[in-house]
Amino acid sequence: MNDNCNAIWKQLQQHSMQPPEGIFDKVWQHILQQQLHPKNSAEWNNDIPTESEINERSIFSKLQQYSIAPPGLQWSSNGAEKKESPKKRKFFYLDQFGKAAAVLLLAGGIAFFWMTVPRKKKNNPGSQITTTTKVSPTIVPSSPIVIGANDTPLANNQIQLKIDQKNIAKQQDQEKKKAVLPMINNSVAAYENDFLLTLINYEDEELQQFSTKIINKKKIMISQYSYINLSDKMAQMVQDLCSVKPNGKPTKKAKKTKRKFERWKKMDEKYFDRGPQKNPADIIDLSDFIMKK
Amino acid sequence: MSLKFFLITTLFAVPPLLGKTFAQAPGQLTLVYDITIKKNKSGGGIEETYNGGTRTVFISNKRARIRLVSLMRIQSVFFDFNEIQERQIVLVKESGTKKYLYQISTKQWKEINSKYVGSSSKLLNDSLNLGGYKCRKAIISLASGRKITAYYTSSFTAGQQATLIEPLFNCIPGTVLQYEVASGTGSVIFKISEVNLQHIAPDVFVLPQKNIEIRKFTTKEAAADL
Repeated sequence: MNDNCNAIWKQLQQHSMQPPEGIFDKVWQHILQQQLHPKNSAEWNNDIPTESEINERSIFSKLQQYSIAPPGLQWSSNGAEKKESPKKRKFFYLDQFGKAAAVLLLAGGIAFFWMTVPRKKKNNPGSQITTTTKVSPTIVPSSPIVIGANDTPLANNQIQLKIDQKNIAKQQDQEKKKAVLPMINNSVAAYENDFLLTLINYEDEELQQFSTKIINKKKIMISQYSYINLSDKMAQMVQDLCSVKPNGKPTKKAKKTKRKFERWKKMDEKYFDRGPQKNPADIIDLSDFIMKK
Repeated sequence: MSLKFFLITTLFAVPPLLGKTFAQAPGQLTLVYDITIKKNKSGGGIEETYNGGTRTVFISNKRARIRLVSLMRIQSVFFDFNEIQERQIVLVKESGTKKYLYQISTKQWKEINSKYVGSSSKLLNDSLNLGGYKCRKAIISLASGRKITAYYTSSFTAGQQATLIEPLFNCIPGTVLQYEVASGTGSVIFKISEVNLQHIAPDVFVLPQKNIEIRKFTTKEAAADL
């Protein structure tokens, strides 16, 4: 289509034909009349040049110089005529001032959004860790913990975190401690299934709760056929362990009792954990251990 | 006719319900002993960590378990007579930061309990009612010279395997429901608190294995310590 139109144009450009005789004279006279003198003007007849003054060459040169504005037509790439759309031109037309104003508005909108929309990620150390280090701290659940499970991801984190590592470690340690023994009527959380270790390792509120339970009940039920009756002397020692000063810190007696429990624990392990030849379920072995200490 | 029927019924039906008159080994037996420790001194010592604990004996057909529960520790000895002799006995420490188990052969177990070899008993007329059973007094004398005071019932026995489970009572013609070791400084008493002949749940005899260190025991070590 394009080629066709171009070919036509070229042919038109090259085309020529002899004008009819006197045509230039007549056209020029007509133009002069229109421009210089309106119709029915008094000067019409006086200023019109004579035939002798006008020759074909001068008229033709004047015609060459004469120009009029072409009609408003737009040619598309395929040669088809395209109509003008004044609305679009207006819509996409932006001067420099408009462009600058648009950029400023956009920048202002982004800044407004950045400052006003709450950024939750900043206050959430978990997700921050996820995005920066791809390691999230494992918060141990409250269900009984598998003894010996290695769950210290914070130890592997090389990047300084804006979190309270001490609190998380404390929470993990507390959760580890709560290995609940199967009970019938009561439930008592014991550290590593070991009640003496529980008394040694629990602190503050946990120790108070645990101790209060066992002192009040005076009996710890493990199962239907296994239980522990707390003796009066032991109940007194547990109370001593829990004694605190007005400032909340343990008393000297409490510290002394704790050290005593720790010492007993080591003595017991040293005697019975060397091998199966010493068994506390055997009355002779137990008696030998108790009576000689 | 009706009187005869009543007598026969009473003779055969009631005793099994009571379970207390025939000297037979019940298929299921649970004995719960309370541990009481007395020391001749004021104040509380390490004995208070075992005082108040329990020693429970479970016997069910060809399986048995002795479980000690106390403030200081929880420990069990499992017996499985379905297994070969090398794997019949397992000692497990169930509490503490370092739990462990020892697989012990029957031979090793006997060597560990060699202190009871050669023991004898003297049966006395004294009696005591324990756990609803009438019990007679006996004094067990060990080869080492130590003496153990025991009260036993002839109403039932602990079965054939009892000689291996409780070698201390091999010289007693019945089931011991209380026994005591006394010395100058104090005494340790295992006293029955419950006798149960009901069915024992199978999971009682399931060996705990999770996060428990398996340790090896050699007879040489036993000889060195004994």
